[in-house]
Amino acid sequence: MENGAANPIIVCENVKKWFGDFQALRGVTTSVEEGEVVVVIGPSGSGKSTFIRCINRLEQHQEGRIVVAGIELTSDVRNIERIRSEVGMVFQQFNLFPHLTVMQNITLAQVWVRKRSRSDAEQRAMALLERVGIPEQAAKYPGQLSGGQQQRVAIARSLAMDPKIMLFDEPTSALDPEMIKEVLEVMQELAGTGMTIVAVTHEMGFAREVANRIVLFDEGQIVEEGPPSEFFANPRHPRTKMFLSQILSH
Amino acid sequence: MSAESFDLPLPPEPPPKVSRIGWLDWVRKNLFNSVFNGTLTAVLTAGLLLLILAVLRFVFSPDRRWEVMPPNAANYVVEAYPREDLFNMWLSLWIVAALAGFSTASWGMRGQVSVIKVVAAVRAIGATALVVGVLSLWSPAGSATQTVLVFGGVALFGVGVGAMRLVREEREVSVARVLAIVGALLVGLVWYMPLESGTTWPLTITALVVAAFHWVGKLVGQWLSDRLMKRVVTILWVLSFPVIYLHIQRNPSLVWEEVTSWLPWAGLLIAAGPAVIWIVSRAGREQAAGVNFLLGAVAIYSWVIQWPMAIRVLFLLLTLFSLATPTFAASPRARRAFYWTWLAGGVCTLYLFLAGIGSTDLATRGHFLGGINLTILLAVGGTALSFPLGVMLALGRTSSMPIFRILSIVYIEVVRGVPLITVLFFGDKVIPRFLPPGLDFAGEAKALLAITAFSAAYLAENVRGGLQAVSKGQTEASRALGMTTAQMTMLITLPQALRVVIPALVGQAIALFKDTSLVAIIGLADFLRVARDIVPNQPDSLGSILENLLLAALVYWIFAFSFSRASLRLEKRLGVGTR
Repeated sequence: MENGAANPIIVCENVKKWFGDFQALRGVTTSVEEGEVVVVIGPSGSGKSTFIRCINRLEQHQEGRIVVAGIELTSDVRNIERIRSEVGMVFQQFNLFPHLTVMQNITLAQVWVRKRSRSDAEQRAMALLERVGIPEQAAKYPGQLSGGQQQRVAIARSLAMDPKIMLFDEPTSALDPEMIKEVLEVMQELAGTGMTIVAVTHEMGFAREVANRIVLFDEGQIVEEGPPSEFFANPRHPRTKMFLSQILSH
Repeated sequence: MSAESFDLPLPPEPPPKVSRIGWLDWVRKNLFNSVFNGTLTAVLTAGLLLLILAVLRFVFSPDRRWEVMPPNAANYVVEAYPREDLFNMWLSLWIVAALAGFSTASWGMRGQVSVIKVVAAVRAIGATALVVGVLSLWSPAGSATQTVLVFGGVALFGVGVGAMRLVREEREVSVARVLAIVGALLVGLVWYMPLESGTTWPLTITALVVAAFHWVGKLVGQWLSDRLMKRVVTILWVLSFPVIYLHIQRNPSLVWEEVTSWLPWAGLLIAAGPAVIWIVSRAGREQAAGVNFLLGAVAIYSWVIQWPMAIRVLFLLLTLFSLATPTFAASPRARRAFYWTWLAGGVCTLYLFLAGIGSTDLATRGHFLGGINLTILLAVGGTALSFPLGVMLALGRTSSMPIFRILSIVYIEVVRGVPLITVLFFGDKVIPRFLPPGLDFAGEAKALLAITAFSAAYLAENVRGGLQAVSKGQTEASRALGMTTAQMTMLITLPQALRVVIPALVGQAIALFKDTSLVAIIGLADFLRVARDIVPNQPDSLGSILENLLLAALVYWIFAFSFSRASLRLEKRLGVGTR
């Protein structure tokens, strides 16, 4: 499924990762183009979360190569911090800082990591809150917001660092059905602006409509990948057929 | 995404009516609702009454000599501190009072309290005084205090009940005003009590200083933003420690002829500093180097021809500031901060020279602090010093670096396995052996070190618990944002960890406060020892040990109780928005 395009922003070559004796990644090779939206799906325990957490080194791969925005992930701390400020990440459990207001959540890393002045950071934060649709919540604490609002703040917090790549690790799995839509809308708008996105999600509607490519993980390997139209219409691998029949049957 | 309202079939209902019950009903329902509970209530009430009567009989017995206490006020508060240097003590108290007044302007004193609550408090105080006064009439002999209690109680209770009928609707009054009235009453009490001569005026001044600086703080607060104001208050408090230390331990006696020879020049130099910084920041590379060279040359020359020490040090400082200007004063904002740093640094240097010149070390006359002063110094100093040490130990223990981890674990486990008395002895007897012969710290300092070392180990364990309570997601989120480990610790993990452990930390501070009484064992005279040993052995108050022990208990309780109330407030204020 190599499309041979010129500008890969993430390159993974034969990435392997073990947790003790358990092998979570068994040689993953793929690349992501700039501006591409990749949705990673797969059964639980298939290594999809581990894979995207390896991209900003929240997990450390043990064999193979990962190059992000031209920087290779080695154990050099400076490299890691540089990559992390280029790669935004949104978590399943939001992970907002509960002791800070929404505004402080979004400005903190801008001031300390990006070295912006406080007023610049606040302006940027307000613009982003506007963009995710909750400017009126700026002064509240995360505990006072609904799950959907918290996740949108988390997205704004990542975007404030002007990342080149956004990683989403099951961003809607901890949300009530009514709130999933508001988060997906924000993600869809983001994809429309040309942001490179790698998202682990179970939202097949989102995958079908927004993704450029879908990647199916199983047992630590990529089983099949391809554009959504092909992937859903004629899956080639029997594992893909079984997975799709299970999630689409009801 | 605004919430639309739909016409749902059921309109909201008003909340259920609460039936108000009288106090008699309440008593019947809660205290006498079964035979067993009724009996229990009766027995316990009787027991409590007997206990109160016994206490009152003790307090109001003609054998009690409470009148020996006011003349001993100085013993309780400062004990052995040289009486002729007592002014230093008052000055320190005024510094604290000024800072307290200044701080209250920025901390939550803008609050309002309902008038009904104030009136209810007056009524409750009156009722208590009345009950105590009446019960005390069963004691063998009457005294003036009993009369005051009974009549004062009746008056206060009457005023309270009357005012309660007048105040119908909710009205509020500022907390500051209520505190001002209470303060005025306390000052009145000071003038009424037969205290040691020469204390009434200084105490009155203390109250006035608090009020004046509260007002100053309010004025300054209109100028500065809230954040800046808080920073100023914190800096002033931190600065106050060395200042107070200097005034208590050393007795600055200025030789004015000497001081006036260099003071104007030093002032001029400090005032000229910003101009130098401005020139250097504006000038090109070569001109700046020229200015630096000139300053450095003068600084060295001043050492050669032996100008007054203050001038020499200030020139050296100015050279350093000038050299650092390109790094620290690049933007106009940074330059402004740099000016202030220079001015503050210059004034502090000047102060150190002024206070240091011709001062005499009071510590050389044996132990110099005692009484409540020593207790407060050990408790406040121990808490303040052991806090950073304990936090560092906790971070060390959870660190991934083996050296720090092992050192922290060894320290914590060794100190926690040893009683405080052992640590105190260790500090008193072993520390001098590590110092050059003939040199020794004051006993107060050694006790403070020992208490700090002891408390830090316990504090570290509390903080470690808090650190473990911070979820892994928090560290992952901060890492994903590109924060360094130090930023993550200072901005994310520690603030959350400390918030969780506030109750434990306050509990520990209270325990530390009470444990300071153990320093009597290495020969220091803390408040308890003064009350137990020293005052009862004074010629005018010989043998008044029971009275003094009761007083000590009361004072310790008042301190500990107000501490725990303050911590409740702190918890409430910091608890905003956390889960």
